[in-house]
Amino acid sequence: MNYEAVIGLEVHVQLSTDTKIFCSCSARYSGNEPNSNVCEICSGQPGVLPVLNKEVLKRAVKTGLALNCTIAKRTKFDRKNYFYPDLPKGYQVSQFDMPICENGSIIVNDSRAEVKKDKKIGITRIHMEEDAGKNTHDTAGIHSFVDYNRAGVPLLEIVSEPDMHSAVEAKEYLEKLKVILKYINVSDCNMEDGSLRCDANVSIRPAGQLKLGTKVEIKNMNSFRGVQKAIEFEIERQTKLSEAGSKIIQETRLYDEAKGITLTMRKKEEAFDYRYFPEPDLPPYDITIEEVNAIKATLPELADAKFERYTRDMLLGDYDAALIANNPPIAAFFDECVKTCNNYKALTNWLLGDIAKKMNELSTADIFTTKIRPQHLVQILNLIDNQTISGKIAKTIIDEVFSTGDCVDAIIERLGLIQISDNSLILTVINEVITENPKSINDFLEGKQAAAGFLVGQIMKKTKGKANPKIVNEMLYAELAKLKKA
Amino acid sequence: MISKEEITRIADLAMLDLTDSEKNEYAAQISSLLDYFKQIQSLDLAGVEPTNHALVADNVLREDKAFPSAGQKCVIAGAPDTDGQSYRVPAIIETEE
Amino acid sequence: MTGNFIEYSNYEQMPLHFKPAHEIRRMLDSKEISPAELRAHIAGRIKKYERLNAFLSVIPDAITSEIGFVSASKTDNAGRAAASVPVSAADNRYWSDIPVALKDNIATKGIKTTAGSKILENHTPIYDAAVVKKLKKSGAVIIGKTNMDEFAMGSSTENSAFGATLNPWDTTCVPGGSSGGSAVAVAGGMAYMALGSDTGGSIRQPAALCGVCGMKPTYGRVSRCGLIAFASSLDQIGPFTRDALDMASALDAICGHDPADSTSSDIKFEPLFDQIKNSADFSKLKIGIVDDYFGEGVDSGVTLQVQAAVDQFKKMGAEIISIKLPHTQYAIPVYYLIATAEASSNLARFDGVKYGFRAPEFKNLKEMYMKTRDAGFGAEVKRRIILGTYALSSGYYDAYYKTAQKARTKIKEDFQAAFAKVDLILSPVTPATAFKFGEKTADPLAMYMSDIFTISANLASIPALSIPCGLSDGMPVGLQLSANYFQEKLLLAAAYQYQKHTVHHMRFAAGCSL
Repeated sequence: MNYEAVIGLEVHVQLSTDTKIFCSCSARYSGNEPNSNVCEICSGQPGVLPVLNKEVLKRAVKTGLALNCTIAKRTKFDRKNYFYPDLPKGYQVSQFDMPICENGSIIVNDSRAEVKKDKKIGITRIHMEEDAGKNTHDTAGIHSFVDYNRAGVPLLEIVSEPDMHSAVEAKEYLEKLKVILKYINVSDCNMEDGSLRCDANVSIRPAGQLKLGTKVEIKNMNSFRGVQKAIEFEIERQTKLSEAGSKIIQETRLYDEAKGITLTMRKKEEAFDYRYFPEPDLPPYDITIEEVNAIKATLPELADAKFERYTRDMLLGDYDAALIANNPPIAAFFDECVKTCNNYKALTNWLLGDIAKKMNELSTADIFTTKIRPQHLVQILNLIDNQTISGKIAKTIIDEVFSTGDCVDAIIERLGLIQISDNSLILTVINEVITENPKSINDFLEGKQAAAGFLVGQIMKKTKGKANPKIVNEMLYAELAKLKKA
Repeated sequence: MISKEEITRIADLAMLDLTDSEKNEYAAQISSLLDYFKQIQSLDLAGVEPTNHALVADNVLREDKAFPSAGQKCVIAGAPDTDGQSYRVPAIIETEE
Repeated sequence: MTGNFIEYSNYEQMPLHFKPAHEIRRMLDSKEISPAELRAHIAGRIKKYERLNAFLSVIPDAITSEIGFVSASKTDNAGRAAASVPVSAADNRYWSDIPVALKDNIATKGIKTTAGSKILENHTPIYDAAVVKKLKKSGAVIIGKTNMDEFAMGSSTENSAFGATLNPWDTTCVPGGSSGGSAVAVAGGMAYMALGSDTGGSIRQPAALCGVCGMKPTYGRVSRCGLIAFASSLDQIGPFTRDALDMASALDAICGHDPADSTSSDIKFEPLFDQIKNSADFSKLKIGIVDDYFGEGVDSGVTLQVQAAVDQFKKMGAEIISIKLPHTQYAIPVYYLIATAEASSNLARFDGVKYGFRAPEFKNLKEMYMKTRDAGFGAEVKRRIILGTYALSSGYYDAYYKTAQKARTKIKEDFQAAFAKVDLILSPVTPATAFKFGEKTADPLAMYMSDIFTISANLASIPALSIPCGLSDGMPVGLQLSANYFQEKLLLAAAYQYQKHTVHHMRFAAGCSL
């Protein structure tokens, strides 16, 4: 039997605000000693009260708008009650029935398709909540240790519809989500450091069946690749069980990255009953259309709009356009370049070619962490256009920009890289080469065209590559023609 | 009438290690309280908004401005068990072997 | 029973410990008494009446050392020596050098705060509650933390993990609760003012049973920041005092907007002391009474005294209007469902991880939680946690919790309709005077029913106060006045005028008059 996988993702994103969601402790906790970034509020001391960070609400609305959601006119917090050592109050302040955003979507670009193919993945809801602390465990398995530095860091939980049907699709959804969140600058979005976390709900059903199968929740995936691998494993596990006629149990499983498998999480004696109820310590929040519009006005152009513009207005190919649009720093770099340079094709080629290669060598994904700036590239392209430098020299200049960050003029001057376009100077060199290579001249005169290439190489060698190759060619042939006649 | 089993389930949610006699006592007392409390279910409350919050003004927010934290020594000083930096608890076991 | 009280006809007659705070203020300002003498006297009182068990902790610095004593009044930035200059009513240092007490569920930095529970028996807060900061700023001397029903759950102070507090009028009777210790501290001449917390009557009921004034301000008037929560949407801090004028100056010290409490009201609080002292006109006041509150289920002795108060108000020119509050008959179920649900969540943080008690023996994490909470909480607290957890649990939420929240709306609407017709509502505080120890401990419903007149004000978020209005069989009877949101001034003005014409607030238990 053929099975179809059904996948929904719950993504937790830490907002990169200055302070925690309900207290004035810094939200930047990494690298701090355990429990040093805490106060009476986020450590759940008796008698403390929460006050919502303005920026959290604003960023939640911004995220909702970027993900095409409906923004709630009125929203409130609720308490989710359960006991766990990393939860200082015995409840998590979250949102239950009045989330800040609902009914959004993301367009995922199917990279496997020859031609760009779009798929819409629904977003059920986005809600605000507080992060928990961190538990660590001793090797002997006797004690665990609790650190509340992370407790109270603002989170958005972004819940997708079960619209994905393969591990690759799930990965693409995550990648696209990350791109959007990066564009709007609400989160660091780094799975490795936990500022983006993902749980997956995976089920399978016989192909063509409408009813959903038993859902298994997978946690503890620490990279996009991990998400893909875990889902692949889980689909295979469920398929094998079904084929063997075994029942799939509704449960939570943890992904073991080292072994590449999922494991049953310790079963609770009782099913979870979170006893959600409205948080009495936090009054509701009303969001006016004016406020939504004001936030909307701050939204930058996002990946889909950029792709449209690059393909439609600049006539870039789908593949190149997508590569640029889905990389916010590259797109920002590109957009800055096109303000003063309309050679889109050349810009794209240099950006996705030599510059991307340099970035790879430096293992950086953010072009703005390197020394090259848009004005460097634009100037280099202009110099190529007006034949001041050759493509080869351009590469040398880019190398130099990456290592020094100096301006292009200074590099050219320092390394003496100006192309020689002075005809009399080139003629002198041509004549020298003709005199020094009588054998090649004979070969040419006997009809061996390849000899001309050798001569060009000799000329370029003498000028250290600075001679304008086009002029060299024209003048050499003119000189050789003279010899022929003679 | 709330059964002893029901009380056990609720006590488990509330993390209370009740004795058998406590369970019996609470089952009886809470049953009779709920019998009395049930009278509110006869009220006609169609279309009535629940009072989720007491007398409050909406939209209470604070600026995203950091203040120094209380600090480790301060918050863990009163804890029953620590390693000097973190709260120490019996091992949290997450997966089944 | 007669002869168990002493009635004074003026302040001069009164011993130092029974004088109202405004009289003490005058004596301090005119140097008739020194702060040290006052402190020593009150310290002696606390020691002498230790058997009443009003205090869970006495702050040694405040009692014994000059430095410690003054430190409480010198912690602000004013830099002025305490009481060296006469303090006016408008001065925010009105409480300079005057000993006050705090219920032990109000966080005091560096001073043990137990909420009457074993689970917090060794808990020392790392911060001061907002009201503590305000009292320190006003110069008050915080002398100690008072006994209470565990986590403010109870009406008798019998649920304290540290033993019950005794009623000074009859030590075989309860002082009421949950703020029983604060009521007794003021009634017994051990503090000139004490703060309590009122979730369903926990200030007004013990005030009534101990013959002092107690007030629950409008929800949001006083910051809850640092009040160990019982039921967040109902809890409110308020004072116990000897009379209405002291109540005004106590409110002046603790009321006002706190940006650290999202439920704190930002409606401007105008200081009350001068307004109340100068209030006079009473003739046009409309007072509502609910006829049902004077019938079946209320002791005749209580009815008699409250009726006398109604007559007194009439004599003073008030118009008495009969009103109906049809949904308040549902107040007890609504209150106990909401309060216990919120409490079940508020008390989840007491888990043996971060502070307080942890059970000594356990095999694993879950057992640590369960044994800690089982041994750390008393019977009533556990009963309420179970009830509240049940009301919120899957399958029962709509039938119990949500229905109660909707019925709460109806109760609020009843009061709004009533306040369209009247300025104040007058009622008894309790159906009976102080009951004997153990009388109601076996029957939770009977205990809960004694809150019948007080809990509606919490559900409706309105202010209400309790003032002494006479004795029944030698035990104090309380009169409750309630008003619409933020009408504290109206309440206190009425109480002040009433006290000008009556002597009930000048009576003290003979048992602790010496």
